[in-house]
Amino acid sequence: MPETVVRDDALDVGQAFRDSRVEEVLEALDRDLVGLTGVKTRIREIAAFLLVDRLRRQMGLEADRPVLHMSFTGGPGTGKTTVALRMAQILHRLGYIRRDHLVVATRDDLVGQYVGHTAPKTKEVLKKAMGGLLFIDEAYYLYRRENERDYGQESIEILLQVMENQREDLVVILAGYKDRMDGFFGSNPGLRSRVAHHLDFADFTLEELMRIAQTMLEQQR
Amino acid sequence: MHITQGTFSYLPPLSDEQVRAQVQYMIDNGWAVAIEFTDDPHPRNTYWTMWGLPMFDVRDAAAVMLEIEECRAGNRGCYVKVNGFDPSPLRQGQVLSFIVHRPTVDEKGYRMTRAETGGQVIGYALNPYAADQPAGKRYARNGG
Repeated sequence: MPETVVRDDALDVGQAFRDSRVEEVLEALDRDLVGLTGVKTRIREIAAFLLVDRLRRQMGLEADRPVLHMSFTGGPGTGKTTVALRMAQILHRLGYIRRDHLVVATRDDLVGQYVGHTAPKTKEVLKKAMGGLLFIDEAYYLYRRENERDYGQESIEILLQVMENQREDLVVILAGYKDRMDGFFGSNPGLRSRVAHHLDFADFTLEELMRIAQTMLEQQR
Repeated sequence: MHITQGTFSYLPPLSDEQVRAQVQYMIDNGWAVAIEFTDDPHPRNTYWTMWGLPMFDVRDAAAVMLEIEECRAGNRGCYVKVNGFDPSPLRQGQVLSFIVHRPTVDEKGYRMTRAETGGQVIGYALNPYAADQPAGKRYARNGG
């Protein structure tokens, strides 16, 4: 008899997808955010990838935990923080982070003002974000090329260490302008190799801006 | 001698997984989590050295586990405990406390000394053998 028997434990990807309730978040993303087609597609791809990865693990297939650190690039006001919030929900529902929470930090929160001040400050923020998502806005300010004694470098090193050693506990998103982020990654190759997903937020077109304006007007009456 | 103290003194030492679950319970209750260490195991020694500041705004036990790990690594020859402080107006006190690390070398016990005072009254004192050595050398390898 040929082996055509459907095994009881066969994978049902569709069912797993419905169980994870990720679809709600993705739909909300589509509904609430105007434009950003590229970003939305990319997020769907990431969600699908993570879902398959999780199923693989459930089946006992050897799989390293995928690197989830991301970089969001785009002008101000293109929805990076909003998408990061949704990303926290998606990762939480798929079980990649334990808590559905997002901590937003900038250079001020991470870098100290005198010798020995930076490490505790950075660690404080990292500890606060653990279990969830850390969103570093305008990350390129961490590294100042013109000043080699700048404390930002120390902050980056601590960040790298945690990003590498505690992947289960923390997912980091670095955000900022596209060209400046490219320069930032260029001068910090260690950081570049630890960021798996690069999402580029395109500027809104005139038509999209009109739609946003209309939505805002409707809300404000 | 296996020295016990605090909330789970009647249980065998907690595993890291159990510690993590307890810490998460403290965080979920909104308690501040603090780590302290000492090499003076006298039961009346309430002033252990603080390992950093209490953690008020962490959301996940992973952050506390990180600190516990660092405290252990830096103080192999010490007892390390985790405290939970409930800041709510009615309680405002420490509500949970347990040991998460013990000296890796032999834990020494206590010496009881009697002191006869007036009128044939006998007073008792309890001294940890560890306290015979100066602080910092009490649980060091090779007898310090």
